[in-house]
Amino acid sequence: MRVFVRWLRIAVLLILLGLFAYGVKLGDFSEIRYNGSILCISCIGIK
Amino acid sequence: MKRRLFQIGTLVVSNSYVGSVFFSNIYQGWFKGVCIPVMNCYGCPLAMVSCPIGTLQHFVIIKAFPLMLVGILGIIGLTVGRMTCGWLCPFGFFQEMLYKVNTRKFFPGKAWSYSKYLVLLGLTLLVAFWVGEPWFCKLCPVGTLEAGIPIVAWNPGGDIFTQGGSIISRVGVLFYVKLSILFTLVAAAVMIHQPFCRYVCPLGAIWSLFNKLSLFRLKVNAGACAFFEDCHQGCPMDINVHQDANDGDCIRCLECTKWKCKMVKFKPVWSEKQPDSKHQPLDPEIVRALEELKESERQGHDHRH
Repeated sequence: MRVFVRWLRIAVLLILLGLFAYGVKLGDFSEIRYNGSILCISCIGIK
Repeated sequence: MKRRLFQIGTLVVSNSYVGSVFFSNIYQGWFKGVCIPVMNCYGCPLAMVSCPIGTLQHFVIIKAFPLMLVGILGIIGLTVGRMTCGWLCPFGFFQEMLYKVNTRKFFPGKAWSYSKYLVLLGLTLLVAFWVGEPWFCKLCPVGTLEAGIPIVAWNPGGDIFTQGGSIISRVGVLFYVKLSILFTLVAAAVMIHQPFCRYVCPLGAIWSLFNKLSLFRLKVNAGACAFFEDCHQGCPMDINVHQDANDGDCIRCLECTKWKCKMVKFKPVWSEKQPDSKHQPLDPEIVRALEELKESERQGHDHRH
């Protein structure tokens, strides 16, 4: 059982790594960069 | 000390864009595509990287699934749990410094710590989805400290800041609401250890789900702690390490691994056969022998006085 859980964890880690890579491929990196590059002035409390 | 260096290092590295001082702009380069695994406002004029919670809200607003963000949060969470809260977060460091102020201290109770899940689900996800605006960012004290106050105090002239008029002349009610939230939090942090991390932080809420599942976690050798029955009081987050070392509130600061008894260790799950950190009852024979030894020590102590 413990060995199964260990391999399950490793499998989930690999899936997450795949998600990360697929996200980069789909353009998430550019989207995050774009969002971080525009200053949300209203979020600071400026009208 | 090592932890302080990591915290200060993260603060400096993630807020090192000095170009904003000379060009009155914010950093828009490659690193802004990277989400640092701690709360660090990307509205800060010096910010080099993006905030994961701001990014999460952005993806909710544009109704897209943040694959890359979920991947990176999951990988870090599944590896070390909430360790980034204790070792990297600049806002956690700020609160730790505030707690050093010599005054009366409080612990509001464990039940309140579930409020951070409400903040994550309600304010961060649902409100952003319905309203289409990042309302957690609008109220976030990290943003007030790192972006709001510096920008209003600096009053820069660059187009990215002014957007058609001087900053000072356009300060609105929300700014004062944000200020009052920050000041309330600062006052609370003087009396309560890391209140934002415990009761508010949506990123902490995400990481805390991983504490019991992570590959590296705290392991308790209950047999080593019989002499140190009050050692759980040494946990900065008031966690009863004997009962559950990998509680969701644990920020993995690893202070408990420095206790004299060495009963707690931070190890990968595969390093030991004994899998969990729950309290294992001691052999009654050993308990009796230890109690006798303690009693004799106490009598010796009384005798000396």
